[in-house]
Amino acid sequence: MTKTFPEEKRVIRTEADGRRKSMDFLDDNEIIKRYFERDEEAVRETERKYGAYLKKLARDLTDDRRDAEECVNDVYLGAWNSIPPNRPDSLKAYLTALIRRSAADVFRKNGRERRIPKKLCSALDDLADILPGGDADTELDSRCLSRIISGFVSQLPDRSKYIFISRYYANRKTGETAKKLGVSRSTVAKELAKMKDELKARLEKEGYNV
Amino acid sequence: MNKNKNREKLYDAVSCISQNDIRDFVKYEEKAREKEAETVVRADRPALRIIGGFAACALLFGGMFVGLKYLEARAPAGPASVDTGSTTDTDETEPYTTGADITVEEPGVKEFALTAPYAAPQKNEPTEKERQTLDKYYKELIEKFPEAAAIPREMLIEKTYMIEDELNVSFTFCFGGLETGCKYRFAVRDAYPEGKWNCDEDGFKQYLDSGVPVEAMDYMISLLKKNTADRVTKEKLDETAVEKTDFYWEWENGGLRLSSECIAYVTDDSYLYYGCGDHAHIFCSVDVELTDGKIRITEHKATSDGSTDTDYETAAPDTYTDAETGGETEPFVRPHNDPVTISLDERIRLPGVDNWSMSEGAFRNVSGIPDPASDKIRTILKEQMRLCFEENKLISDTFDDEELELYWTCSNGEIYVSCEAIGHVTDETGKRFGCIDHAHIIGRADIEITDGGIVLTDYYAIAT
Repeated sequence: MTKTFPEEKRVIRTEADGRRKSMDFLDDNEIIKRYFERDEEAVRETERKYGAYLKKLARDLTDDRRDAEECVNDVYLGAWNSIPPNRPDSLKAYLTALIRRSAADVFRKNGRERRIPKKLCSALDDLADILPGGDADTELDSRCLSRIISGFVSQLPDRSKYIFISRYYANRKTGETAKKLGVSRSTVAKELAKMKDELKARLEKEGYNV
Repeated sequence: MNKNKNREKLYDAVSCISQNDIRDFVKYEEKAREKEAETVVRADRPALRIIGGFAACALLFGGMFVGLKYLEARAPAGPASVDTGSTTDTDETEPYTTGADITVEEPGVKEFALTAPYAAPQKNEPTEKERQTLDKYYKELIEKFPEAAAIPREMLIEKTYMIEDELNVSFTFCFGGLETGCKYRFAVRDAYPEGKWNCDEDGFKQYLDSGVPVEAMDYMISLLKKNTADRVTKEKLDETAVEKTDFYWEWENGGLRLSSECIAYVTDDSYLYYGCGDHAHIFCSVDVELTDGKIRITEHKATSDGSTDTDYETAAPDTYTDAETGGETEPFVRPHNDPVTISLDERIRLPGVDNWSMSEGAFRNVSGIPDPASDKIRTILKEQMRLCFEENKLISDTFDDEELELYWTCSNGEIYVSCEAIGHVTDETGKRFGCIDHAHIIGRADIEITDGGIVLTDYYAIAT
């Protein structure tokens, strides 16, 4: 005796459809393993898992949609070319750093004069309060500034670090960060102001005139 | 001070933040997201809070009542009392029973022997003429593709039809009563008037002489429906949808899976956001392994496309093209009355606006916005949405003439306005959308109330 199933329940969905409905992504370690095996599925899986995140970040860091697309493509290429030998602990963090570098490279590659995207100006002008004012000839050693800022960020507690990087690295609006943390925008703004004061104090301590 | 130089210096300096710190950033965000997912109540629904309050009271009084009853039961019995010894024992894992009298046991892994009888597809009775055609081409099929002889004929869905005098015949292999990608087709066309055979194959080619035992298929269907029903209940969706669940096979990384999809409409009690707005897609699956004369079934819980927030992908350009003048222009700024701070729970009716929602925190009185402002916002969003239509190669017969409804939302002190249109998929649409044949185009603008007026920032449109 056989059991039959109603016709209306029969639906053809074959492998040829290529449609993914479930949101279960590969683990990062599995994806990295595919990079090491030089399996091109690694890039596809990276795109599946982090594509939306990278696109958003690229659009926040660049002025132009085409630049953003180029950035994202460069990240996939960058990941393919650098893994191996690199074996990132966190693939998402690794891709975040790649896209930041890629955004700067895109301007140079397109032969345009190096300029900061309008979108980033607000965050950078906000941070510029910590820099010495006055004479335009007075220049901070860029490497020193990098060292001080990265040292400062490293010693921040997790939540403050998250807020700082959201605003000044990922160029997110304070409202967006506030929403993710479930707090008001003014709370985030206050924490940023406090960190800027601390960073300014760190610069003074290192001997820079502020 | 050279502003641009400082910007470049800071940009480079910030870019040097270490990988470890970026990793901490990423991890913190994931934790925040998980925490948010656990608290899924929409704070902007006062009705839920009221209901929650009543529910809390009901629980308190109900608990007191049960407590009193318990004490009463334990009171010293009079001469006529009888101790029934009954207990209320709630079985939280009450088995789910289908019409086929299959009881789903504990979730996890289950095995069945891979033996007949096998589940077969339901077939329509052909007409006499159709039967003759099918029998004729079945004989040809077996001669042309000897492996097809291994398929019991009751496992084939057989079809024959004419399209403008062109004959079409197909034989599709069914596994567990569901169609697979193994299909044999015969067609007559102008280009080949004698007719031509084609064969499509997929992973089911290895199972042509096999099938899924009836008992196992019943178990899987029951399990998928049960898990789907649990999800629908949890997310407070329309429960009648479960009976219309679709079942289909999938190959995932070389492994076989029986999957299901259920489209369930939201109800007044639904508390999550869904990409399609008024309905949710509930997905569920079981992994199927056929090995050593056994069929091994591994359960997965159902998932949905529900979320606690609406996640918009794109960021907005800094300028937009004015629909009236065609030129580039800054975000819209319009003079406005002095804003007034309104306390919690006080309702504000926004003139010319159809929907609004409450906020956890205070938000400003925007009742001074007259309708022309809404029209301007509508024009701006419509332009963004039009670009989105073009970019995604979607079409709509009604978009140009439609006056889009604006939905205002205020959350954590931020105000935004959004609107929605439907775009239909064309042959040139490169992307796949959850609703298959159409996408939802969402236009959105964040609003800032300043002393100078209302400022639209981050206005954009996305297709989901």
